[in-house]
Amino acid sequence: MKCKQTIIGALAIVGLGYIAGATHAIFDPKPVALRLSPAMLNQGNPAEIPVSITDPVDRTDPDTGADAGTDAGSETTSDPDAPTDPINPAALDPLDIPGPEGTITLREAKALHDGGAYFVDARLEHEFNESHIPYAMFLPAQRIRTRAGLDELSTIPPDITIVVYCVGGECDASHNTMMAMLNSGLGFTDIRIMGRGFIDWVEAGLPVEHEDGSITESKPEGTP
Amino acid sequence: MSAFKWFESICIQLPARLLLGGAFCFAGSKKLMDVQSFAEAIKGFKVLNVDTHEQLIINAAYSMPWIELIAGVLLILGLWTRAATMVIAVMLLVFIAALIHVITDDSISASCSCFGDVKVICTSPEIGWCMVWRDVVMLLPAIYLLWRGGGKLAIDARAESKLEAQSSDPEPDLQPNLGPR
Repeated sequence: MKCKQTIIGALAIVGLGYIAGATHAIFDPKPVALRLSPAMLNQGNPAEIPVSITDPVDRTDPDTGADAGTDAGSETTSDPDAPTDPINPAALDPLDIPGPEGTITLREAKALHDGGAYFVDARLEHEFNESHIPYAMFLPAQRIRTRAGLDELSTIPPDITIVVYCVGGECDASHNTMMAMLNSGLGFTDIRIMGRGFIDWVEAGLPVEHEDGSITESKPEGTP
Repeated sequence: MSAFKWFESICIQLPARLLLGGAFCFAGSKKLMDVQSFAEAIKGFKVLNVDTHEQLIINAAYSMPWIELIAGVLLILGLWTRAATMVIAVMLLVFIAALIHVITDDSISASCSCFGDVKVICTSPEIGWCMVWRDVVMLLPAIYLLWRGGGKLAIDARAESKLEAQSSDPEPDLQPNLGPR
């Protein structure tokens, strides 16, 4: 008898909680969103990425003999000769391995970094403190939703290109951070997500800022 | 027997209720302050696929803190103690299972958000066995309260004693004749 009463009571508590939650959801001024809508992804006026072709791949034109890499006008956003077939990541330069749809490659991220874009680190605080992309700001989604985080975020000019990155792999943190930035009401117009993570950035030998403030090229051992 | 019950109520049941109920009230209110982060934490656990169960995750993110808060308040008051404890125990079991799922799957990088942005006992921001043990430890008083109830200082006990008094207080004209005095 007591057991039956307990179960009924427990179900009543769950039901009450569900009703309270549903009411909360209806009247929440900032409803929860878990995915970036296409409108969010395509908002603003994203700047073109000045990717410079400096990779070691031989880009000599077989017809003209001209080296595309030495051409002064080789700064381009995309390679027109780039294969459109499904890409085998193993055959690609690590800088060009594509991330999930709608994200930028390491090469594009590096070009934006050199061009003065703001980088936002969406990883955990201790990971950021250990090492991060030079001049990156520690602003994961949870921090953006605090007063201090919002104040820090407001120091970024809204019309500048911002690149968000996290650990790597299927990292939701970058998307969450991008969503928090777009929902902050500060009017950011150009936010990109680095499809490959910080681990890939390090492994590709790109510069890293350490805890003591020193910046090193993080070329892994054994690479030329 | 009565002395032991009083001792048990004051020294075991009341602290257990206050600690467990307080912890759940605190956790629920912290989550309610930032539901978005809690929803992102649930998504990060990868127990549910966000593409197919987005609404379910959002509903859970809104409901779970309220359930924690209601169960916590009831436990502190000692009202519906066993029912509130059962809810808390089931939630703890679900949390333990979810934490183990994240720990054993190396591809998942999630934050706990167990007490919102506050770290309780386990200071590491990453999900680890400390959080599992913390929940297991919290499960012990829950099991005890489920077994023994809220004790003499709970509202339940007062209601029960009132009911007992009513049932044991016989109507004068229905009193059986107990023989010659």
